[in-house]
Amino acid sequence: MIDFEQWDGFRKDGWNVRVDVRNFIQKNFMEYEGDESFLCGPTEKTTTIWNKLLDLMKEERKKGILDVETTLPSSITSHSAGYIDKENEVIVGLQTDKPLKRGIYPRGGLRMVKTALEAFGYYLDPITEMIFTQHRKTHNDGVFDCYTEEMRAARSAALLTGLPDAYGRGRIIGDYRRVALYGVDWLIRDKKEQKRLLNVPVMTDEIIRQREEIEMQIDSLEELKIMASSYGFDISKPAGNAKEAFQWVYFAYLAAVKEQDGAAMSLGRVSTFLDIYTERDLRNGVLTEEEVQELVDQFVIKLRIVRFLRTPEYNALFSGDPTWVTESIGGMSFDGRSLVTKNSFRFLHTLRNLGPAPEPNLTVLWSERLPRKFKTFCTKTSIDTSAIQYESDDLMRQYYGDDYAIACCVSAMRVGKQMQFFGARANLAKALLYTINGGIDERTKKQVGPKVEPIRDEYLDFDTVMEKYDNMLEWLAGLYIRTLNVIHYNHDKYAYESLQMALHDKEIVRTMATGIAGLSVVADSLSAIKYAKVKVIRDEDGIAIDYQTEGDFPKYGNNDDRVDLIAYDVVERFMNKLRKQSTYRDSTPTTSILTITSNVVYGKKTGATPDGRRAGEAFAPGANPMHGRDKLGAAASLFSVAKLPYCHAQDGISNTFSIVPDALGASEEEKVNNLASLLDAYFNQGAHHLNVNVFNRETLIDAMEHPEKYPQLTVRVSGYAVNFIKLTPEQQREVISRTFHEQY
Amino acid sequence: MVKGKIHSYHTLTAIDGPGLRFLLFLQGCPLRCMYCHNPDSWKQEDFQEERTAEEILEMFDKYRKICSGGITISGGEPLMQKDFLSKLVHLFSKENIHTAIDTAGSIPLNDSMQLIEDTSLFILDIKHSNPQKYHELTGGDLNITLANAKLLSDMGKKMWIRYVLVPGITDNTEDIKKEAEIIAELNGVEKVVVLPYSTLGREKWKKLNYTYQLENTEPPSKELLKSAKEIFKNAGLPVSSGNS
Repeated sequence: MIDFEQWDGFRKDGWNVRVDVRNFIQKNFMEYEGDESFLCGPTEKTTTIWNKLLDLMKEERKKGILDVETTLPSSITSHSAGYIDKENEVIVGLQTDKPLKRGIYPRGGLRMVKTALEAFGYYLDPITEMIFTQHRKTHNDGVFDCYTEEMRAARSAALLTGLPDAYGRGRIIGDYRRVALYGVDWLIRDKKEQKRLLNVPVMTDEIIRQREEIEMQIDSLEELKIMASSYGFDISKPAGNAKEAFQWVYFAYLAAVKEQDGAAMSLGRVSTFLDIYTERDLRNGVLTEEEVQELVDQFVIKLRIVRFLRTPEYNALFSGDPTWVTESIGGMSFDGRSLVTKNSFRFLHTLRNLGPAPEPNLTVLWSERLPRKFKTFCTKTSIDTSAIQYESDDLMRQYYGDDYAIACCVSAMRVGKQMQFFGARANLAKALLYTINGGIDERTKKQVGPKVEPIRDEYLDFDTVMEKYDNMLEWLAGLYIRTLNVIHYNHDKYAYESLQMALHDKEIVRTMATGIAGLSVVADSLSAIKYAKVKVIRDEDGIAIDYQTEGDFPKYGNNDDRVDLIAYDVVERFMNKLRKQSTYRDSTPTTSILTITSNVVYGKKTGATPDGRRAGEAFAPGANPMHGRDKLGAAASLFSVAKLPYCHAQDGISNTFSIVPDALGASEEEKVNNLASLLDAYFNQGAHHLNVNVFNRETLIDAMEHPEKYPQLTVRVSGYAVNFIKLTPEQQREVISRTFHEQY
Repeated sequence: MVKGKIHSYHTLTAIDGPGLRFLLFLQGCPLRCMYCHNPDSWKQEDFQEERTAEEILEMFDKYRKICSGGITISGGEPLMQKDFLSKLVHLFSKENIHTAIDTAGSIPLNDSMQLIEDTSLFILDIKHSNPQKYHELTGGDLNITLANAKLLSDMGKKMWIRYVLVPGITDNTEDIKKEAEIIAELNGVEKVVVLPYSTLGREKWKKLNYTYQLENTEPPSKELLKSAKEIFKNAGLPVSSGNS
């Protein structure tokens, strides 16, 4: 049996003979139930580096991007070592050779690289362009070779939007901890053994593909070692102390973002894992608390400066340069101990030491049983920074065990054992309009959906609409999965995530992660049709373009079952249709109710709806009720969302909650406790996710007018946080128009 | 069966009594305060719905876990519907739910011993300390409020006192000192909340075609608010640092 001196002081019980990070954590972590009084401020080194970056980011905001590579496609070893300030950097490694300089990832799609470069006044090197047009096919080319007419039509009509068909799909979390715990050589040996097991009598295409993939994984692990050695580190062996553990984990993550420009490049669940190392060093007296916080701060700084090159269209959809470096903190273990450690505090504390920021996307896995002092530390940090999101560990633990993490915003997956095929979202509100117009798009008048008999009634009849809507959803579910099959077949083929998959087990669970947009619009529209009278206004071509609603109707967001159960039914109905489809690599279909900031663009591209929403008006984000329609206060609004079935939306249900500070209570202590009670009660209802924003509308309005005063103002939007001043004016107005809970 | 005339309800508040609470607004008020935020709650016949106490409890039950602080009954003037209010508070107190009544004390309470017994907390507005100015501001009689305050004090009830600070109307130093003296004589005052006048009610007045007399009045400055709070503090009162 191999033993490493780097493992001295750890309890060895299983993880030391096979790759099993969860077992290592369970055997060695030390739960922390105390308060935040042990925390330290930033060191001078940290502040020096962060201030340098703040200046660079200011310049970046002015120019759009600070700098970009125009020749050399990004790979794990493409760029030589780069530094911000070598002397003061405790954790080293940059995506390219300079801070905030963006790489290019043409394997995902050359068109996107070219368009994005040109949008910022740069040009792609002609030889690079020649290679990726004449010698090397891209994922984007592959997808468009396979798309059907129907898929293209649905895509350009914005019935399906945000599909990862022109860049990296993301939402895959490598188990970056493995590199620190085992060292790269162990992982390579393990992968070689896995490949040997695939030496079987019948070479099916699945076996051939797996053999090729594992070989690619091994290559990328070799490259990871080379990249680390360019910074002067040998990571073939396990990390021997806390500083190395942070550095090894970061190198692994860095390799992933050098290799891929995935939509969401999440980190996983590293803080408690790393706490085992910091505890050992503290115990041995080789580190001080100040030095530990410095490691955390500097690690987090690196996560804050991950950048990808995106086109202006992408930025309109997902504003503010999001990378979704999601880190999941807290949660409970099966044996009843919470996974809260001192590092859980230290990671959240970076929001104070460095000021608020959207990245890393700090996600607290909430349980009613978390230590009280940790809960109030979280809510205090929320009140101060509005930069944290909360997800129900009590709910997710049932599905994913006690070593899962969140990818992107709300997608839970077992770390190193599960990945997803990211599928963006389908516009169910538009599908409702197609139901009424017989598959003709209300804006372009093109036949996008199946040519079925339109509804010709003057007033809409609920049963007639539902029957036809059901058929439309049946068609949409089929088209949607077929489209995703095309995308992910080609992504595996042309832009395989070899480094991230090298940090997974051989046998993994794959989900086909679809999504729903416009849920609250659909629920309210169907409620209007059912409980009020909805008159159809048709244009000269007979296309329904507007609706007149007579009488009142129950609206989603008021804890009223008459409409909330319509929302529930739509989710279940659509999910069951997805479940019937045949999926690429036998992945399990799931869905999410999450829009990120795309609710604005979805709304823009959708005509008027029967709920009274005007043409072009933004949808509510995620699973939120429509703006201003939740009239009965916060609890009723939260409870409506909590009713949505997680079992039919296992890729997550996002809700964003905004409250003015004074409405949370009189004193600081009351505010902190009240917010903790609110989270307990909300998740106790079976809810999945909550973004918490605590600020006054006036602050946002002032920030729109004087952005220079608010360089770090962070707001939570559906599933992630964003630097407010980086949003488009349209999105800023949408955030301001949301329901802010306050007392009148 | 006595039914309450309901203005509206709000499923979560953290600033109308201790903890997270359910907030019920009853319809109807004898006062006509110049700064009223809810002029639509004045006329009792304009109620939105009628509910029995049991129905309110049923509604509250859906939120029992999140509204762990209890229920606050506001208005309007909740004492306008004393029979219903007594039933309601009695029912809730039997269920061991914390009850708070948010009132200007403008209806005599001396015939409502059971109601006082059953209520956990009174949030009492004493809107002015000068009887004449009180009447000008509210159209009501300060003496009724003061008699109620004394009664509650004598019965050892817990109270929060609210005072709305309106520039030019309630910001006179002598008046505030007098208000502080009145409060200082009461037992059971856990908190004094000085609320800055806000213009949020204006739109509702316009909608109802009422003439808003404070059109030219702006909210008090931070300094003014601070100095008013100082006066209460100097009288030894437990002044809240916030708006609740």
